[in-house]
Amino acid sequence: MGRRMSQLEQLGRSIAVKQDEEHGASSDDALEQARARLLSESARGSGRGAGRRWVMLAVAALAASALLWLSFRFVGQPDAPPLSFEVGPSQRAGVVSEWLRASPSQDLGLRFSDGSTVLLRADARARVVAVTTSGARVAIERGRAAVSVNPKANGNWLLQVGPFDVTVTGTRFDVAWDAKAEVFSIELHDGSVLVAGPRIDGSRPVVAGETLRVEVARKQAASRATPRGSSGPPTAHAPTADPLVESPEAQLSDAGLSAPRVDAAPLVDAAAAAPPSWTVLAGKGKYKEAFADAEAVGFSAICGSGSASQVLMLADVARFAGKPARAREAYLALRKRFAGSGQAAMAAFAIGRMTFHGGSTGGAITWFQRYLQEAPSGSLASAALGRIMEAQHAQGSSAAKVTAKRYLARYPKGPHAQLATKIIGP
Amino acid sequence: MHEPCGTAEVVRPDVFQGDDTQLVESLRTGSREARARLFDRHAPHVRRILIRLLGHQDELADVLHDVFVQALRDIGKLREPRALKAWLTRIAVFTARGRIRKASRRRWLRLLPPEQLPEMEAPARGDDVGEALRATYAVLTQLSADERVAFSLRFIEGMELKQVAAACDVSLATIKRRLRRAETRFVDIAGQHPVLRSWLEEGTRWGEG
Repeated sequence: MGRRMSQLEQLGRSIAVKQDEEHGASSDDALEQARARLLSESARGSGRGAGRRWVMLAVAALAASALLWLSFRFVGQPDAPPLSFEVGPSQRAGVVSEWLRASPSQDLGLRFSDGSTVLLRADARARVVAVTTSGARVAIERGRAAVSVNPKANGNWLLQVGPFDVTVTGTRFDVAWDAKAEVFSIELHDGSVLVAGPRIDGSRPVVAGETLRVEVARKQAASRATPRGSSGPPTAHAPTADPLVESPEAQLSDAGLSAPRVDAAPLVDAAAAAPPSWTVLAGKGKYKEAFADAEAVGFSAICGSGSASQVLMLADVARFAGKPARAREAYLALRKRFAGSGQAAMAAFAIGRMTFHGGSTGGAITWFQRYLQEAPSGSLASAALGRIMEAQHAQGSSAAKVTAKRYLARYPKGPHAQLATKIIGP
Repeated sequence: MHEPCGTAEVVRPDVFQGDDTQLVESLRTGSREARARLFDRHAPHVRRILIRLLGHQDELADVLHDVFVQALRDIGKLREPRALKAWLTRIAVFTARGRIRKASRRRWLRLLPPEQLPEMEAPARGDDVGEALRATYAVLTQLSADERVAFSLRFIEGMELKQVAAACDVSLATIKRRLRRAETRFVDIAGQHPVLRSWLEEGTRWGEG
């Protein structure tokens, strides 16, 4: 027992150290977001009348409790479901984590069950990362979107637009991320939002009538808010002439939400049924059983027809089950079918690591470089750069020193920092 | 407790001069300045507890926000202002436990998102603690929320038994029983996990991370 305790304590210590390394900078963003929201709420909720409002709140709470009790008593216990959403003209049920792409000639509308809408402009790519009972997290990878969040729903919405986070309550705005030029812009029509990201110190409120444009690549601070109609620098688009200021309903109608046509090109066919049994087994950590189950269903068939998340999971299952050839097959299928998606980048990383462990350092470097090209600020970026350095070092290449310097400059406390320091030498 | 390392934190000067007792007094008067100080002073600790318990940072900003909203709402109920940090820890624990339970209820409904998948194959390298981290949380999802919380606080955050009991708001005897169950279940499941098995069999490898 004592030895086991010691093992668990050592495990815990190692994990704690690793968590602190992995969650450093990115969880600072979470800290900043939470702080901004808390203080903006307290700004609205504090003041001289706070005491009186507490009494009113208490009365309201009592009334609400009574209503709640009545609803429990006569209707049964409510368990509010998370928001759902419909996609495109066919109004098919949306699936969380599915990558969506508006076609080059047609906008693509997402309509949420609380009345909020996100209209992806032509060629934009996005995915709904998560839904809660009161909001959603939507990642816009590239392109423009018109967003309208229902102000009555007391919602909790976050848009991740490229490297920027837009915290939303109830509002209507257009947002854009040009991934190539690294330009972010947001134009507020109603309400206000908080924007956090590169070139912005903490978080930046943007209010109705303002357009905020941030050029990430510029060395000097380049964020500015331009009130509509001012003679300030040109913004991403002229508000008066821009069709984005149409009503959301008109935009959705344009996007064909009510028409029977499907011009938009979702990257994934979302058949949101009960999960296949192999995924349930995988979720329980029973990888060998999950792999056998997937083989029985048809491993290659899943590779050819499953969603990106499913194929990625299948590949991981194969790896865990000790079937590297099958794992590689699934990763390659994922990259072919969902080229350009986040999952495809993760597949590149996974193939790189398998190749590395297989002893082919040159091949591994190529795959890690692909990951970095496709997801330069992805969650595995530091690991990919570290692995490249490690592989170059194993090859005896002088490039390892250059990569080590680059690694230390970017991740001075990263998991490969010790090796990088050693490679650079005195 | 394990000291955090390698964390790049945004540090704001703590211009509020008073200790936690004075901070609580100011919070009770509705001071906005005090609210900001409460967050700046204690949010890094709360964040660390949440990451230990949840194992990932999905919606971390939301959970952090929820913890402080509840703290501000209930600040009048805090009997011992000097124990502010422990009180916030308890709120964080209960908030995280709620999230864990909610996630468990919904897990059967949908696929795991890719970022929550256990990342890699059976360990070919003894130094890759990242694989062990993900595998550990994959195993922890199979424990009850109470067992998972107790295990995470004791073994990952490195709290003393009394601190774990206080954070979970239960007696020392209860937390000991809970931890025994959690430990047994964790070791049973981890023993079948391709990433964790060899590590558990060779306990000294844990020291290499």
